[in-house]
Amino acid sequence: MTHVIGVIFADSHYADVNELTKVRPLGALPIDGRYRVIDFVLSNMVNSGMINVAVVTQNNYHSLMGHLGSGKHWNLARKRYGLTLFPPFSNLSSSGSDSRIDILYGVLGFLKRSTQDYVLLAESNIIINKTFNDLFKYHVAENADITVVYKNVDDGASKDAIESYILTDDQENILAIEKGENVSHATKRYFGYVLIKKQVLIELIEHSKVRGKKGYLANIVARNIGNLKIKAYNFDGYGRKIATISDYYNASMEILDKTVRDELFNSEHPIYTKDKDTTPTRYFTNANVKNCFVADGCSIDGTIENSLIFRNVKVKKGSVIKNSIILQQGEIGENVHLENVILDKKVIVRDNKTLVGTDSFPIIVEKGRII
Amino acid sequence: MAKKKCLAMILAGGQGSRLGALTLNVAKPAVSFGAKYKIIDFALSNCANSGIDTVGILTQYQPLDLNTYVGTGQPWDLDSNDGGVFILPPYMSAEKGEWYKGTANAIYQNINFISRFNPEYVLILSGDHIYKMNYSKMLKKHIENNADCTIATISVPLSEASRFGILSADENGKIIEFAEKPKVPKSNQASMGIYIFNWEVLKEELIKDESNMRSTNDFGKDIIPSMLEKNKSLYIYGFKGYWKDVGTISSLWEANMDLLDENCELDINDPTWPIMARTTASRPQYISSKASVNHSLITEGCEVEGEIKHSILFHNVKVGKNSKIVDSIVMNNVTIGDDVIIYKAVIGDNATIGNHVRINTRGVDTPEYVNTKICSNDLSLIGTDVTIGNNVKIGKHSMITKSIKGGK
Repeated sequence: MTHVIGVIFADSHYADVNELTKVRPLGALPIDGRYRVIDFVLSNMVNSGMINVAVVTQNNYHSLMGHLGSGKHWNLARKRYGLTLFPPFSNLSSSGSDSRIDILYGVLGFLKRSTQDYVLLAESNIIINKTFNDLFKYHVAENADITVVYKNVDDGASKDAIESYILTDDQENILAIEKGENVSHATKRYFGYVLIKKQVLIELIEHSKVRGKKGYLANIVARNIGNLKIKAYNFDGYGRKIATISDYYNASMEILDKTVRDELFNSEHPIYTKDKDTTPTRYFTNANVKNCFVADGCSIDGTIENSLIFRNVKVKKGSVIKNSIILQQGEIGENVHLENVILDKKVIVRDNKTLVGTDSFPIIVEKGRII
Repeated sequence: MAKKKCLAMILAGGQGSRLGALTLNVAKPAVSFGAKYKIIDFALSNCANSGIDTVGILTQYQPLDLNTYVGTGQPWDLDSNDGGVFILPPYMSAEKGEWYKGTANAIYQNINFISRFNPEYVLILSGDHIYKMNYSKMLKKHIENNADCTIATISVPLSEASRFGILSADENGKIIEFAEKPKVPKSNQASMGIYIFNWEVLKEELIKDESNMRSTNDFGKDIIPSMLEKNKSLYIYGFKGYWKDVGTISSLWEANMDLLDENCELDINDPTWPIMARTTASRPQYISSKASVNHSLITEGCEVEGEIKHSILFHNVKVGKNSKIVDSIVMNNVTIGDDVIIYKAVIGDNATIGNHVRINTRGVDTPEYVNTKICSNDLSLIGTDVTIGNNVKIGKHSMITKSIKGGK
């Protein structure tokens, strides 16, 4: 798939994870112990053989820059192509929080300069381990102008306003794209990826930009139904979109299930992430850890159940943590009780404190807070 | 090319035959250590942390793993434009080609490589020691002393001094005498096999040594005594801190167990002196609801369903239900079945242990596997890539180099 440019949107346009994305773009949201959500799409692109990937960001992009660096952890630090990061203001008319059309207009030069013929437009918040090779084969075999990826969902599921649904004929030709609130019966939920011929994309961006159009799927896909050949493509297997806090909490807890773990993380298609020379995790004599996903660099002397523990977390003796997510460098003192909480990075919980949320409303503690 | 102040040459050609079944297919520096590391990570990280950006690694015995592991040197930030890390196996030239005959000959055969960087000083290291050392401090001393050669030393108990190369020095640290494994040691300063030489002086010595047919071409046995004889200026550099030559199964096991002591002098968690390693893209470790883990070090990719006590699990180790592992080190990609009991063992990379296996449990005696030369100190060793079938029992001091079929 060296003929395909990857463009990853690391912004939070189609998500509401505010408590965790105030300090970082959605793409840099830490997940599953040692990863950031963007690692999945980046690794999937690299595992598909793509070598030219752009990441476009909006505000608060520092943590993302720190994470991605030169791209070497994804084998994208290359002489020819590789990883290119486009911060906001990369074009003169940028306001720092532009519409997707403005963002794409900002990378038009990059798209034109690249020799690849196709572009894969991708959200950063899809947790899946799957290459795009079959999607690409399908796109080329169908000679489609645009192929939109969807995931089958239960028709009875509530239709969130933030989600888009695809309506097709029985040949997977797209007839309409609708917001969740506007459809009563739909099973094909838009799943974050659009594969498009580069020339078609360039024309659509230029056309939309001069007319002041802002909407992304509306202008890139919906408006062209009937004029262009637009196909739908199903992504089966385990996959989650992180658009809300409850998506985040649920997808995290699902990793405690072996089948999910084995599907998301396998040696055939590794999920790459920044390597930090973290030491192995140390379990002390009072450690009592059950059903937990634990990253390296931790020191554990307490009781932890059904939880995700990120890198370099310290848990002292006498503390009990249940059904929780403790992000990097958290420090839990002695005799602390935590249940159904999400602690953002570098949160310190002092001795003898108790925090109890519920699984539908986990308590979220902001980055760097001391409790 | 920019002139280098100091470049490092790491001697990594040794087989490490006393590591038995762990070094049948890899050189000693490539043996796994401390859950996440290879032995050579310590020398490479020390170089990188000391500001040395050009490193030659002299390989000879089974270099494949070491080559692929070191690669471009990127994990140690040694992939620089005008330096970097270079694997240097012996090679054929127009006149002749030969193996590295000794430590000094290995450097001699690479005189052209070193000269290319035109360094003032050359640091000679072993690739098989576990320690953290700032070589730039040693170099500073070397320059202050205006020395031709500086040898790092460590204090050893006098009772053990006869196992080492012992250096006697005057009050300024100037070396008076060097004695290899002396019966009656005159000092407790043992050579660590770490040398800094002025390159011009060393080059001359190497060329002379090579023409001496009686020389064994070894730094300790030939080069250092010859320089002392010529009244060259040699100094000791006293090192304080953790240092271990992990040349035997017992010392390798001990050095690993040292890491389990939270007050261990070797702090691998010091952000100012990170021990860097090439890592695989493994997922975090999973500790199941049936598992029990205490007083242990475990790293990424492990899936633990059994009981782990005072042990170290390396990358991607799987431990089945009702299994118990005590006082052991279990290296990368090892799979251990259900209802297994393992005491005081070293399990090599990629080994597979079937269900109901017993290793080193009380009352099990298997003289057919005993190898006390390799396995001292009540240890048992399961070799790299070995498969142990279901229900097999293995007693203490055993070394297993070939797979064993399961029984009933």
